[in-house]
Amino acid sequence: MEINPPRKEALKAVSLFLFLCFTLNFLYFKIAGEQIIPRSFTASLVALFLSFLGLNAEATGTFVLMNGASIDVIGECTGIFSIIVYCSVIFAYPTSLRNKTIGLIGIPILYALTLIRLISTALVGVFMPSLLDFFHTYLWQIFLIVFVVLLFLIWRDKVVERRKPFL
Amino acid sequence: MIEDFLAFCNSKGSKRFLGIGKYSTFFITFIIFSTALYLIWSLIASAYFSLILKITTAYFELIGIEVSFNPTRDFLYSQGIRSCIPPYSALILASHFLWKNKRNFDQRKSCYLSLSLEGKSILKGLIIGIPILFLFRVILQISYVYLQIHPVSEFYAIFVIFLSGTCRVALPFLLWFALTYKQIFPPRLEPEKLEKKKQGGRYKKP
Repeated sequence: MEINPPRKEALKAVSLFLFLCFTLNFLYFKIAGEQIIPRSFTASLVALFLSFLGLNAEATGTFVLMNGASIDVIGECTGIFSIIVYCSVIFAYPTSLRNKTIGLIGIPILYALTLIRLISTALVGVFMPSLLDFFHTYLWQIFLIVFVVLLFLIWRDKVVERRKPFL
Repeated sequence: MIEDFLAFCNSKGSKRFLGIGKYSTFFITFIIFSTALYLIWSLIASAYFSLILKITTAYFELIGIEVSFNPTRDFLYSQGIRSCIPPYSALILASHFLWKNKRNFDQRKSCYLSLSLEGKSILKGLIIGIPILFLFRVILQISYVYLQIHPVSEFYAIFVIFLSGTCRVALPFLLWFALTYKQIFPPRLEPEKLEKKKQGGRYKKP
């Protein structure tokens, strides 16, 4: 009985993962450039949700203005890097195209989590400004990796492994 | 204390009462480690980035280019605190508490595999991973300097964005994957061979 060793599969997946990371990154920044559209869109959504929460917030370009303060939504704040890595993982993992397509549902989830991070950071900036820097870098660190890993593991458990044959 | 907490989280009673599943357990464990490591790291963040700058300066001196940095204390701290070493370390430590269900060979349906990392693997992950992440940060700093001192192509500028953005997420993920790949990719038959086996025939290579 022939068995695919895990190392061989893993090396193939890693090579494809790195290729996809670079390609998606290159294509995105070649097309998006300064990322004005995604940044402005994110700023608009953040301002909208802050308004729902009762704050006097509005978006001007890539800036969110509220209560005399302003936040500049830079490219990193759109969650694009986590999304690129997540998409690369999904498409590099050896499974059917159907499973990979289902995995793409992680993209809006990651974006929603990014919005939550931005909104909570803005709220800290308004109500506890002395903690803003700490909160901002702390949440950035958490969101950087853990949600990519978690979504990958959930997708792998709930979608891929349910359908794949075992020895 | 953490083991007791996780035993409670994984118990059937807590699942019904608190609704905490294995994913939440992993996430909560990660938050605990991440918070502790972040607080410890905040004490050495400035020194860490100062070392990065010293190594970068030494590299350029070696190749005959004079480079000097005059960072403020705030700049050193703000750059050092953004290191991906603390979240990576938290990920590795939290992976010890990933789900540990047995694999059922009798059933043809999916089972949750054990992804839990043992003590030796965690140590290996930290001893190998942290220097790699440090070296990556040095390379990134060197690439920033080249961006400033030489006229660069658009391709190089996007490559630096790739290093500073995507790789900051991808590299810790890859290092974590290097420790868990044997569990993530268990040995299995290729689909066409399995199909032939199911049909009772011998698989012949085309």
